[in-house]
Amino acid sequence: MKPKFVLLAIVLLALYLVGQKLAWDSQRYDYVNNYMNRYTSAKMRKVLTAGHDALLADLAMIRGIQFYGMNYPLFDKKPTMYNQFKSLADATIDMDPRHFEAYRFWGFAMTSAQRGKVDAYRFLMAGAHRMAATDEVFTIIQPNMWEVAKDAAYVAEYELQKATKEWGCDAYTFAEKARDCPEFLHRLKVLACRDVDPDPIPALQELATRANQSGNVAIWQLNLDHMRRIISEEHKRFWDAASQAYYEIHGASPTRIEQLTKNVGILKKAVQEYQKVSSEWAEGGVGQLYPNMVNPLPEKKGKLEFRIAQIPELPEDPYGGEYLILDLQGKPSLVGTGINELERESFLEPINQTLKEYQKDHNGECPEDLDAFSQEYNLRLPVADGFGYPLLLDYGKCEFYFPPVSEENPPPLPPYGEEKKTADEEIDLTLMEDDSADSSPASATDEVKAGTADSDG
Amino acid sequence: MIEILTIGLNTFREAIRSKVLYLILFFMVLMIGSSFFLETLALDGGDRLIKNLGLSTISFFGLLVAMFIGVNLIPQEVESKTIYTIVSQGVQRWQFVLGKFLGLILTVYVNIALMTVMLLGILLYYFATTDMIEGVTFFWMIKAIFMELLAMLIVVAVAILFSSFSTPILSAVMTGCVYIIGQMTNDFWDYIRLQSEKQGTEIYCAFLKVIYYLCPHLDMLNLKKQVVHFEELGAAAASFPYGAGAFHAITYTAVILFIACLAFSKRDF
Repeated sequence: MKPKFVLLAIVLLALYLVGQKLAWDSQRYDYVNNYMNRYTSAKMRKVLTAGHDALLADLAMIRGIQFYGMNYPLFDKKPTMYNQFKSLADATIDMDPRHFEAYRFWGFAMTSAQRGKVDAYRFLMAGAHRMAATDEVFTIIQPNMWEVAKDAAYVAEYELQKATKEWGCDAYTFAEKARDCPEFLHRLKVLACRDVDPDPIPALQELATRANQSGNVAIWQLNLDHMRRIISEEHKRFWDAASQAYYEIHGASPTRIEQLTKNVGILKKAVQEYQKVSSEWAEGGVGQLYPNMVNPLPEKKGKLEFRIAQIPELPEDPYGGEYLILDLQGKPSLVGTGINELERESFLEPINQTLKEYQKDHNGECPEDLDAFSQEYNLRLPVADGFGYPLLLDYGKCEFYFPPVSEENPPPLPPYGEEKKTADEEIDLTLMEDDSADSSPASATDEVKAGTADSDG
Repeated sequence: MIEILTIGLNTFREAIRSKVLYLILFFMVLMIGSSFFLETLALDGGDRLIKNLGLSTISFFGLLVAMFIGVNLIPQEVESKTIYTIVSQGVQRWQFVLGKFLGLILTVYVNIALMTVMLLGILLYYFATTDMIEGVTFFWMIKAIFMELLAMLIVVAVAILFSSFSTPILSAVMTGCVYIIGQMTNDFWDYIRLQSEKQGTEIYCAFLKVIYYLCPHLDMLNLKKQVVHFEELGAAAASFPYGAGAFHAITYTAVILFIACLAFSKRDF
C-alpha cells in the first residue's frame, strides 16, 4: 500500500472522528421532546397522534417520571435538564389537556428546582383552568379539578412562601368551582384570602353562612373555630394598640387587663389606632371597630352571628371567656380564657365520667389512691391545663376540677407559671410523655394529691 | 343474500387461516398485556394507562387487520383466477364485494371481541388488586369499544374500496392515510375556519371544504380520547354525539361500499 493512501486514510479517519465528536457535542443534550417543542406546535403534536393522544400522553408521563427519577438532582445545576423536563410536561398536557395525574405529578416534580416553583404554580393553575373549561362535550367542570387547584395553592403558600399573596387565594377560589370541592377548602380559601384582604368581615360572613347552611355538626364546629380565630386576631390587634398606648404613658407593659380597660385615655387611643388601620381596608375608607360574636358559646348547630363593636363596647372573648394578662416567660401576655375553659372541659369530661363509674363500682366511694384508680381504669390523668393550672380533686363532690383562671392567682406551672425548682415541689412534666403506665399516672397523682391537700386545707 | 353470506363466511375462514392475522393478534396480546406492567410505572395513573392502551390497541390493530388482510382479499382472488369461478357461478360482482366486506368485518370484530375480553379481564384484575370497584369504568369502556366497532366499518369499507381497483401495497397505504385523515377532521375544520378569516382565500377554502366533506369523520367515533374523563363527569354531564356518529358511520360505509361495487363492476380482469 502506498504511503499517500495510508496518509489519506488517516486524514479521512481523523476528519470522520472530528465530525462525530462535533455531532455528539451538539446532540448529546438534545432529546426528541426538545425538537417536538421547537419545531412543532401543540396543535400539530395533537394532530400527529392520529386519535391516540390520550395514550401518548400517558406514555409521555411515564417518560417524565423516569426522567425525573434520573435527573432531578441536576435541575438546579443544569438548566437544560429542567427545560427538557418542562417541555415534556407541556407536550404531555397538550396531548391531553385534562390529564389530572400529569398535572399533579409535574406540579410536584417541578418544585424540585428552585426556578421550577413558579412554573409549578403556573402549570397547575393552567391545568385547573383547562380542566374547568366546558364545551359541547364537557358540559360541566371536571369534578376533581379542585385537587389540581389545591396543589397550586399549596405551592403558592408553602413552596413559594406566599411570595405573591394573591396566588394562594386565587387558587383556592378557583378550586371552589369544582363540584366535588370539599368543605375544608372553603376555610383554607378564607384564610389564604385574608392575606390579600385583611378586612375580617367578608371572611366572617362566609364562615358564618357556611356554618349556618351546613347540617353537619363537625363542619359547623370547624367554621365556628375559624370565626373565633379571626375575631381573636382582630381583638389582639386592638389590645396590642392599647398596650402600646399604656407603654407610651408608663414606660412599662401592662400586667393586668384592668390597667387597660379602666383607663379611658388608653382605650380611646386604641380605638383610634384600630380605626386607622381598618380604614385602609374598610369600604369608603371609614374605619370601624373589631367584630364580636353575638353568642360566643352557641348551642351545637346554633345560628352563628357576629356584629361590629360600637364604642364603648370592648372586645369579647369569642370563646366565651374573658381577656386577661398573664405572665409568659417573664413577659406580660394577653390571653383569652374561653379557649382554656373549652380545653378544660374536654380534659375533665372523660375523667369525671370514669370517676362516676368508679363510684358506682365501689359503693359511692371516692378513690383514695389515685394511682390505683388510674391503673384500674387505664386512665391517664392530666397534670395541668393549657395555662398551667394543676388538676385538682374535690373529695366533697368527688369531682376533678381546675382552679379558675385569674390574674390574682396566676398558674403555678408552665407555660404561664414558673417551673418550680425545689426538690419537694419539682414536677417532672416529661413523665407525661412517657408511655409507661406506671410512671405517668404516678406523676399526675402526686400533683392531684397536692391539689387536694390545698383545697382541703 | 345467501351468496353474500357464503362469500362472507368463506372470507372469514380464509382470513383466520392467515399467518398475518396471528402475527397481528400476537402483537395485540403483547400490547394489551404490557399495560399490566406499564401501569406500575404510571404512579396514580395505572387504571388510566390500562384503559388508554387497551382502547388504542384495539383501534390500531383493527386498522392493521383491515390494512394487511383486507387489501389482499380482492386482488388475491383476481390474481389466483378464482374470481372467474365465483362470477361464473352466477354471483354478481357487487355481491362478491359485499361478501368480502362482511367476511373482513367479521374477522376484525372477532379480534376486537377477543381483545375486549382480555382488556376487561386485566381491568377487573387491576380493580381487584387495588380494592377499587368501578362499574362505571366498564360501562364507558363498552361504549368506547362500540364506537370503535362503528369506526371499523368505515376503515374496512375503505380498504375494500381501494383493493377493488388498486394494488395491495397502494391500498394499504391509502387505507392508513384515510384512517389518519379521518382522525383529524376536527382539526382540519379548525384550519379551514382560520383560513376563511383571511382575505382572498374563498376558492382555496371551498376546495378544502370539499375535501373535508369527502373525508370520514373518525374522530366523531373516537370516544377513547374522552372515556377516562367522562367516567368522572357522569353520563349526564358528558355529551358525545353517539347518534350522529353511528349515522355517519353507517351512511359513509354504505356510500363507500356502493362506490367499491361500482368500481369493481367496471373492472376488467
